[in-house]
Amino acid sequence: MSLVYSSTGSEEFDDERLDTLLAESRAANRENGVTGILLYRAGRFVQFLEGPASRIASLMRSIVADPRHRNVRVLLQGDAERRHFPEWTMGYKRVAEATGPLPEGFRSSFEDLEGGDPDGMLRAVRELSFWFRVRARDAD
Amino acid sequence: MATGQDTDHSPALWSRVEDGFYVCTAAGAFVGYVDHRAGAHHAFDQFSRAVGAFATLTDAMVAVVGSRGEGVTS
Repeated sequence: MSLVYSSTGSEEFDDERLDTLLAESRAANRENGVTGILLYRAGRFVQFLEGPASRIASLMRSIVADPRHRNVRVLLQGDAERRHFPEWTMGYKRVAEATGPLPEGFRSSFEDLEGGDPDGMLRAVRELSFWFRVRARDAD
Repeated sequence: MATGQDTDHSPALWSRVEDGFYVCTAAGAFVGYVDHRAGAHHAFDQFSRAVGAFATLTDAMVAVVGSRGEGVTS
Protein backbone atom coordinates (compact mmCIF):
# COMPACT_ATOMS: atom_id res chain seq x y z
CA MET A 1 0.00 0.00 0.00
CA SER A 2 1.01 3.62 -0.19
CA LEU A 3 0.29 6.42 2.27
CA VAL A 4 1.09 10.11 2.41
CA TYR A 5 0.85 12.04 5.65
CA SER A 6 1.81 15.45 6.91
CA SER A 7 2.83 16.50 10.39
CA THR A 8 4.28 19.43 12.27
CA GLY A 9 7.66 19.13 13.90
CA SER A 10 7.31 19.58 17.65
CA GLU A 11 10.32 21.86 17.49
CA GLU A 12 12.60 23.25 14.84
CA PHE A 13 14.55 20.53 13.09
CA ASP A 14 18.07 21.56 12.27
CA ASP A 15 20.24 19.39 10.04
CA GLU A 16 21.56 17.33 12.95
CA ARG A 17 18.10 16.49 14.27
CA LEU A 18 16.90 15.68 10.79
CA ASP A 19 19.90 13.43 10.21
CA THR A 20 19.02 11.53 13.39
CA LEU A 21 15.39 11.19 12.35
CA LEU A 22 16.37 10.01 8.87
CA ALA A 23 18.86 7.48 10.18
CA GLU A 24 16.19 5.99 12.44
CA SER A 25 13.60 5.97 9.65
CA ARG A 26 15.92 4.36 7.13
CA ALA A 27 16.94 1.60 9.52
CA ALA A 28 13.34 0.82 10.43
CA ASN A 29 12.17 1.00 6.82
CA ARG A 30 14.94 -1.26 5.59
CA GLU A 31 13.96 -3.82 8.19
CA ASN A 32 10.26 -3.58 7.31
CA GLY A 33 10.46 -3.42 3.54
CA VAL A 34 9.17 0.16 3.47
CA THR A 35 10.36 2.77 0.98
CA GLY A 36 9.49 6.43 0.50
CA ILE A 37 10.57 10.01 0.78
CA LEU A 38 10.43 12.76 3.39
CA LEU A 39 10.02 16.43 2.59
CA TYR A 40 10.52 19.17 5.17
CA ARG A 41 9.25 22.67 4.64
CA ALA A 42 8.66 25.47 7.09
CA GLY A 43 8.36 23.19 10.10
CA ARG A 44 6.08 20.70 8.33
CA PHE A 45 6.87 17.18 7.24
CA VAL A 46 5.32 15.44 4.27
CA GLN A 47 6.19 11.79 4.08
CA PHE A 48 5.44 9.27 1.34
CA LEU A 49 5.44 5.66 2.51
CA GLU A 50 4.99 2.47 0.50
CA GLY A 51 5.23 -1.15 1.48
CA PRO A 52 3.25 -3.96 3.12
CA ALA A 53 -0.01 -2.65 4.61
CA SER A 54 0.65 -4.14 8.04
CA ARG A 55 4.08 -2.51 8.17
CA ILE A 56 2.75 0.85 7.09
CA ALA A 57 0.01 0.68 9.71
CA SER A 58 2.55 -0.18 12.39
CA LEU A 59 4.82 2.60 11.25
CA MET A 60 1.99 5.12 11.38
CA ARG A 61 1.15 4.12 14.93
CA SER A 62 4.77 4.81 15.85
CA ILE A 63 4.74 8.17 14.10
CA VAL A 64 1.53 9.27 15.80
CA ALA A 65 3.05 8.31 19.17
CA ASP A 66 6.38 10.03 18.38
CA PRO A 67 6.57 13.31 20.34
CA ARG A 68 8.62 14.83 17.51
CA HIS A 69 5.46 14.82 15.37
CA ARG A 70 2.32 16.84 16.05
CA ASN A 71 -0.87 17.22 14.03
CA VAL A 72 -0.28 14.05 12.07
CA ARG A 73 -2.72 13.96 9.19
CA VAL A 74 -3.09 11.17 6.65
CA LEU A 75 -3.59 12.85 3.28
CA LEU A 76 -3.84 9.89 0.94
CA GLN A 77 -3.70 6.14 1.26
CA GLY A 78 -4.53 3.22 -0.94
CA ASP A 79 -3.35 0.18 -2.76
CA ALA A 80 -0.37 0.70 -5.00
CA GLU A 81 0.33 -1.35 -8.10
CA ARG A 82 4.00 -0.57 -7.85
CA ARG A 83 6.42 1.37 -5.71
CA HIS A 84 7.24 4.90 -6.81
CA PHE A 85 10.36 5.12 -4.65
CA PRO A 86 11.83 1.62 -4.63
CA GLU A 87 15.38 2.93 -4.47
CA TRP A 88 14.88 5.02 -1.33
CA THR A 89 14.50 3.64 2.18
CA MET A 90 13.75 7.28 2.95
CA GLY A 91 14.82 9.87 0.44
CA TYR A 92 14.94 13.36 1.85
CA LYS A 93 14.79 16.91 0.57
CA ARG A 94 14.27 20.19 2.36
CA VAL A 95 11.88 22.37 0.39
CA ALA A 96 12.58 26.08 0.52
CA GLU A 97 9.60 28.10 1.64
CA ALA A 98 8.33 30.33 -1.15
CA THR A 99 9.40 33.93 -0.70
CA GLY A 100 7.72 35.50 -3.70
CA PRO A 101 4.02 35.86 -4.43
CA LEU A 102 2.28 33.07 -6.26
CA PRO A 103 2.20 33.98 -9.96
CA GLU A 104 -1.31 34.87 -11.10
CA GLY A 105 -3.29 31.85 -12.15
CA PHE A 106 -0.94 29.41 -10.40
CA ARG A 107 -1.83 26.93 -7.72
CA SER A 108 0.37 26.12 -4.75
CA SER A 109 1.27 22.46 -4.43
CA PHE A 110 1.61 22.72 -0.66
CA GLU A 111 -1.72 24.47 -0.21
CA ASP A 112 -3.44 21.92 -2.45
CA LEU A 113 -1.80 19.10 -0.54
CA GLU A 114 -3.79 19.91 2.57
CA GLY A 115 -6.67 21.69 0.93
CA GLY A 116 -9.16 18.86 1.27
CA ASP A 117 -10.03 18.50 -2.40
CA PRO A 118 -9.16 14.89 -3.33
CA ASP A 119 -8.22 15.72 -6.92
CA GLY A 120 -6.07 18.63 -5.81
CA MET A 121 -4.39 16.57 -3.12
CA LEU A 122 -3.58 13.78 -5.54
CA ARG A 123 -2.22 16.26 -8.06
CA ALA A 124 -0.11 17.93 -5.36
CA VAL A 125 1.30 14.58 -4.27
CA ARG A 126 2.33 13.88 -7.85
CA GLU A 127 3.87 17.33 -8.21
CA LEU A 128 5.91 16.97 -5.03
CA SER A 129 6.96 13.47 -5.99
CA PHE A 130 8.04 14.74 -9.37
CA TRP A 131 9.91 17.69 -7.85
CA PHE A 132 11.77 15.29 -5.57
CA ARG A 133 12.87 13.17 -8.51
CA VAL A 134 14.14 16.18 -10.44
CA ARG A 135 16.09 17.49 -7.46
CA ALA A 136 17.48 14.01 -6.69
CA ARG A 137 18.61 13.71 -10.30
CA ASP A 138 20.19 17.18 -10.16
CA ALA A 139 22.16 16.12 -7.09
CA ASP A 140 23.66 13.07 -8.82
CA MET B 1 -0.39 35.95 -15.75
CA ALA B 2 -2.21 33.52 -17.99
CA THR B 3 -1.78 29.81 -17.44
CA GLY B 4 -0.34 29.38 -20.92
CA GLN B 5 -1.73 28.81 -24.34
CA ASP B 6 -3.55 25.53 -24.66
CA THR B 7 -2.51 23.64 -27.76
CA ASP B 8 -4.16 20.36 -26.89
CA HIS B 9 -7.63 19.51 -25.62
CA SER B 10 -7.51 20.04 -21.87
CA PRO B 11 -6.60 23.33 -20.22
CA ALA B 12 -3.14 23.50 -18.75
CA LEU B 13 -2.92 23.92 -14.98
CA TRP B 14 0.22 25.31 -13.38
CA SER B 15 1.39 24.77 -9.81
CA ARG B 16 4.34 26.14 -7.87
CA VAL B 17 6.23 23.63 -5.74
CA GLU B 18 8.89 26.11 -4.66
CA ASP B 19 10.15 29.45 -5.92
CA GLY B 20 11.24 28.96 -9.50
CA PHE B 21 9.89 25.42 -9.91
CA TYR B 22 6.56 25.12 -11.70
CA VAL B 23 4.76 21.98 -12.83
CA CYS B 24 2.19 21.85 -15.63
CA THR B 25 -0.57 19.25 -15.79
CA ALA B 26 -3.65 18.84 -17.95
CA ALA B 27 -6.56 16.61 -16.98
CA GLY B 28 -4.33 14.99 -14.39
CA ALA B 29 -1.58 14.18 -16.88
CA PHE B 30 1.91 15.58 -16.55
CA VAL B 31 2.76 18.05 -19.33
CA GLY B 32 6.15 19.42 -18.26
CA TYR B 33 7.84 21.82 -15.92
CA VAL B 34 9.85 25.03 -15.65
CA ASP B 35 12.91 25.29 -13.45
CA HIS B 36 14.53 28.69 -12.86
CA ARG B 37 18.28 28.27 -12.63
CA ALA B 38 21.25 30.51 -13.35
CA GLY B 39 19.07 33.41 -14.35
CA ALA B 40 16.97 31.58 -16.94
CA HIS B 41 13.66 29.75 -16.98
CA HIS B 42 14.43 26.26 -18.29
CA ALA B 43 11.46 24.50 -19.89
CA PHE B 44 11.10 20.71 -19.96
CA ASP B 45 8.53 18.50 -21.69
CA GLN B 46 6.55 15.56 -20.34
CA PHE B 47 9.62 13.34 -20.69
CA SER B 48 11.79 15.84 -18.81
CA ARG B 49 13.59 16.70 -22.03
CA ALA B 50 14.82 20.27 -22.27
CA VAL B 51 12.84 22.36 -24.73
CA GLY B 52 14.67 25.63 -24.17
CA ALA B 53 15.83 28.33 -21.78
CA PHE B 54 13.89 31.59 -21.63
CA ALA B 55 14.22 35.01 -20.12
CA THR B 56 10.64 35.08 -18.88
CA LEU B 57 8.45 32.56 -17.12
CA THR B 58 5.67 33.22 -19.59
CA ASP B 59 7.84 32.25 -22.56
CA ALA B 60 8.97 29.09 -20.78
CA MET B 61 5.34 28.19 -20.01
CA VAL B 62 4.37 28.63 -23.65
CA ALA B 63 7.24 26.32 -24.64
CA VAL B 64 6.13 23.65 -22.18
CA VAL B 65 2.51 23.77 -23.28
CA GLY B 66 3.62 23.85 -26.92
CA SER B 67 5.55 20.63 -26.41
CA ARG B 68 2.37 18.69 -25.67
CA GLY B 69 1.95 15.69 -27.91
CA GLU B 70 5.42 15.98 -29.39
CA GLY B 71 7.77 13.03 -29.41
CA VAL B 72 5.18 10.43 -28.47
CA THR B 73 5.23 8.55 -31.78
CA SER B 74 7.17 5.32 -31.83
